[in-house]
Amino acid sequence: MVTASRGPRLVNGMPPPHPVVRAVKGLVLLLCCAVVVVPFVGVVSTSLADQQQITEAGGYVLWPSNPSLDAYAAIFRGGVVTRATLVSIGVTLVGSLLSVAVVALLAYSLSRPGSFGHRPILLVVLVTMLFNAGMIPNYLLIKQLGLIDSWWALILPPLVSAFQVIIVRAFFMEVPAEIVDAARIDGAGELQILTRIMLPLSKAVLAVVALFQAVAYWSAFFNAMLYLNSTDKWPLQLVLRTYVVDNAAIGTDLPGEVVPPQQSLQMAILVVSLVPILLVYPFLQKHFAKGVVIGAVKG
Amino acid sequence: MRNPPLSRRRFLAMTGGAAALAAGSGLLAACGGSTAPRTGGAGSVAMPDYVPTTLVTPDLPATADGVMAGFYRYPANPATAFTTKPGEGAGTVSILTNILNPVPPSAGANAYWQELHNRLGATLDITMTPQADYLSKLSTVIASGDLPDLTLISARLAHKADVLTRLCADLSEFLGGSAVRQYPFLASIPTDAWLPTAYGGGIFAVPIPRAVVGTIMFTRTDLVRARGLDPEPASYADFLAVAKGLTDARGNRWAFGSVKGVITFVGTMLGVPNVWREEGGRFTSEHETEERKEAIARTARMFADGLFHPDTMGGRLQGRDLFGNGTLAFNPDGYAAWDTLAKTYPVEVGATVAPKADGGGTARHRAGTTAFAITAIKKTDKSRIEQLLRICDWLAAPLGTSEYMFRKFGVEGTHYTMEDGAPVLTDKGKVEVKLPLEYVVDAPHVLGPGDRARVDAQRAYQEKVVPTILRNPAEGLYSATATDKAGELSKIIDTAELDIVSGRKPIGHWDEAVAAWRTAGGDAARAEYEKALADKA
Amino acid sequence: MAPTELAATAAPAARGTPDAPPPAARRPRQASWRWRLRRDWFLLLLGLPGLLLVVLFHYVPLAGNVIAFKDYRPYLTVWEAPWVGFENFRVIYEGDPAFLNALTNTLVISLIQIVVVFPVPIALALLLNSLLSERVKRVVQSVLYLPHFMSWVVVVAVFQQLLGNAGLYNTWARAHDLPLLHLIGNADLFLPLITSQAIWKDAGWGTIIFLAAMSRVDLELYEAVAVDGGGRMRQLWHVTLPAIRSVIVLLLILKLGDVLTVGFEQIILQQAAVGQDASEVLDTYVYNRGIIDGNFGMAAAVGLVKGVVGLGLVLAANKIAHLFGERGLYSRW
Repeated sequence: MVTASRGPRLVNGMPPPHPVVRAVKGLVLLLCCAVVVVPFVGVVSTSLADQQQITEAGGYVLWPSNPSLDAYAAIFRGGVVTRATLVSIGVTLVGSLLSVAVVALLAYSLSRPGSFGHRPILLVVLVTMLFNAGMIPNYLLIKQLGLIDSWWALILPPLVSAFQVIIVRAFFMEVPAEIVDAARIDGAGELQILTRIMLPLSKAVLAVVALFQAVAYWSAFFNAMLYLNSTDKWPLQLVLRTYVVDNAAIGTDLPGEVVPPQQSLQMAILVVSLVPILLVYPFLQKHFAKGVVIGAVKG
Repeated sequence: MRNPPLSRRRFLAMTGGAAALAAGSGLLAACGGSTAPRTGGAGSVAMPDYVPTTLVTPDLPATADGVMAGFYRYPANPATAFTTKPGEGAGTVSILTNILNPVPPSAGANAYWQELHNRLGATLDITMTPQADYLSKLSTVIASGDLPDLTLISARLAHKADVLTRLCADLSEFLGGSAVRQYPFLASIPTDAWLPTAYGGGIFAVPIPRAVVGTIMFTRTDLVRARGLDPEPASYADFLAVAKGLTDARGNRWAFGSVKGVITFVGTMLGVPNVWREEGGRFTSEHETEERKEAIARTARMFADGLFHPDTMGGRLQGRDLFGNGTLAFNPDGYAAWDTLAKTYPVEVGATVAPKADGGGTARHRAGTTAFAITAIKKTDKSRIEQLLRICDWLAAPLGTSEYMFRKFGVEGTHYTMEDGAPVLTDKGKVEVKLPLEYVVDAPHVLGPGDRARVDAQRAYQEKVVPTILRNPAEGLYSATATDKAGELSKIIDTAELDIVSGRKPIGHWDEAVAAWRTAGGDAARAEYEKALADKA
Repeated sequence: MAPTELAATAAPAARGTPDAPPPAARRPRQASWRWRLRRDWFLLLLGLPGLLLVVLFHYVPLAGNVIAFKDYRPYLTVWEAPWVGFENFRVIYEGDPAFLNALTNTLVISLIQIVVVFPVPIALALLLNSLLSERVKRVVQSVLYLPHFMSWVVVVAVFQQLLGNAGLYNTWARAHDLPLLHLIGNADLFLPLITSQAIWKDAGWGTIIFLAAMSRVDLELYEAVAVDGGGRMRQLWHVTLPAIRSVIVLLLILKLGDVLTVGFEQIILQQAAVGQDASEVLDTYVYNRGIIDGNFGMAAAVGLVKGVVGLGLVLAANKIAHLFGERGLYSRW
């Protein structure tokens, strides 16, 4: 991306920054990162801490003196979590991919100015962002569709997000008209314009949709709680939700059980939920890198 | 950037199951009832006879007034109560209940669960919902019209009476009076636990009993003694002195961490009634009493004196941890926490008995809720109900029976081993024996088995306070407003308490809050209770 | 090739569907709807799956909002429940001072969110965009978005543990006779507290959309400015900002649709600490007065009101955006 130098020396299209500016920028970013990282170190540390240290610290530990993987062991014991992870991965993959496809199609169909009915349909989509049906009507619908205890009850309802349709549509509409016109003149139909021009140019926003949906599917538990009665169909977040009980209810504890401290479990759950996302993000992130729009599109 | 549709849905989803937030932190709703739209005026319904089982002899037998039975050790040779499979012919039994521990593997992969089917002679299809979300699930299941065979009905469910009388089976012919004797372990459930199941002249559920001792003011008696303070204060002044002696802000130590708990405790010392006071057919709410106002005022003074943990107001303190590490000297909690605290933290766990504020003896101890929740049976035919009740009976088998040992610990050798006379779960046991059966039906709680000193200490405490127990006269009566508006009404009270204790508002504000409480539903509740009482007579 | 979004709104280009009549010559003065339908049927077909899903999973259940006008109980069907007119809405129009307090708080918090919280991801995105090293940028991004995945329960707990009155800092300060930080539980600092929490939690995640928009910018544009002698500031002003302007406007408009919703969970978790006067917003107000008891009718009523207000605001904001020459959410045709 660096032009042969005839003018000022450029890196990634920009002149190199003044060293002072660089230092200030670095400092600001360092501060931002520190503000985020320090509490997170605490989260991880608490997940590794033992009961004694947690008790002494009053619930939150910054550095484990006696790190132990008890909380993680407790989570993964018995294969329930493993199975639930697989379920979550499946639902997330299918959901995100389907979502990107359907959202892209719908957004494209609404992005051609002056096309028939695009304004009313857009309004129809917009309204769903502002009004919600509530738990019971949604449940009754799922029941009517026969989707109780089916993973489709998790995948289908959030599949089309109005917010994302609107954003993707905006990105589509910003693709320069000349390119689209040129393609039409060459005889391209709508589908070809979509697949050969729009999608390649919109990798960034589609990656955004994929990421947002993936995160949404991965973190969801409420629909699973309502619609899935068999625990072997449960996704990860719902299973993990049973590990932490707020203000443990009045009940008897089984003897001989060394239960990892609640806080340690809570933090371990958070860490476990995060890991897959941290693994996936770099793959999508390269689409947000600069210069994805290659000048060669011209012409 | 947040994803708008998700956050909105989440709000409405949360608000739809809203009471779960409140329900998770305390179950103090009065329940039970005798009037319901179904029958119009109601006669009283015969409560099941209380016939404590003779199959098991505890080391410390339960007393008539509600002191828990105590066991020092697991009985060496547990009796086998059932000679036939209780669920024979029942086929598949569907259950909806909540779960408060990590979910176990499903039936197909769970040897314990399969053995359970074997011993019952029936298949249990259990839908387990995390406790925090249970009200949402329950509401939607009710709305869908598809109740399972057995459903846990939370104490906080709105329109409880209507739900029970319209959708659930009336069990009075099976359980009322001496009829319950054919289910010996259901008969072992104390009468006051049955009160919340009675509506409109019928018994509509089986209760999950809890001991009447309720909430205990746990105390770090070791710290008390270490500072030369009196572990048995004889008056409010004494108690205050102990609290002050235990507070050392610089050393990161405070007496209290729970505003509500202290107000209740001080209120107990002053003689505040347990939710309602009934005299000659008229009901007075505890909120309307001078003693309650005084309790709040005194707590506010203690707060101003710095006796409370500085983050108390947020209500998010890890009370047990802070108790365990000595930051808090007092921590009110349910009675079952005694063992939990003692096992989790290497400290001496004690309890403070509330003295009368002006001295002269022990104050009357405030009774706790006698049932965690109740389990209802779907409306169905007689033989099916009897099958289900037999299964419930099996689930209520108490400590000392082999059924109990299996239910709680699984198969000996596979899921647990006996070490030193006590069962220790194996890894397989820790994972598989996690079915929420105790939240369907359970035997009454007992003290122990465990460390003899601890069992004795708990027993001693109960023997001191339980004979003085002060009950809620509204128990056994039903008020639709009190149940349907429980959250809203307690919010008004809780908010006022926090505002006054924190110093944001003066004590005079309490009168406004009580007036608001009365308009929002307090007066309606009072009228309903008075009518219910009159109808009973 | 100027990165102007207005170019895309140029006069409707003729569509090159195989069987359409040659465009410019015979296009009628006012394109008849029949003609447009014939021209665009395939486009509509493409959008059909999405539209069907939207109608099925959003609109069909929306009919359930009729319970806003009924006294609904779960053991009755929606039809059986008796009508109560606007009874469920009373909680809103009662007009009592607590409601007005809640409304004021809500609008103030919304305003702060738009003015203070909204720009932070933009600034961060610009900062990240100007980094030279892709690797540093990637690492920093991954770090910054971590808090997004923490639930509010955990966030509030962490804030209390670190900044609470007996939290890490204050315990240390108390032992060393240093000034204490009274942040948690301080009604006067409640607004700054929840604002900083919101920024901490979601600013990093919020950069994603802006980075995506910035990534579309042709690098040659930067070079063009540089060759013209412009420095980084010029590049920012003439290249980067225009590229994300329409996204900013769009997001602002959508945010206005949500102006009455301000973070229920975050606030209800911390309401006890500061009291209702400082912290009550519309959502907590209606929650405390009925939704806490599972009053579904009231929840539906409140949802309807918020939706209607939000819709009105979105449409109005869109019109205003037009005045500024922005396309906004949707345009004239």
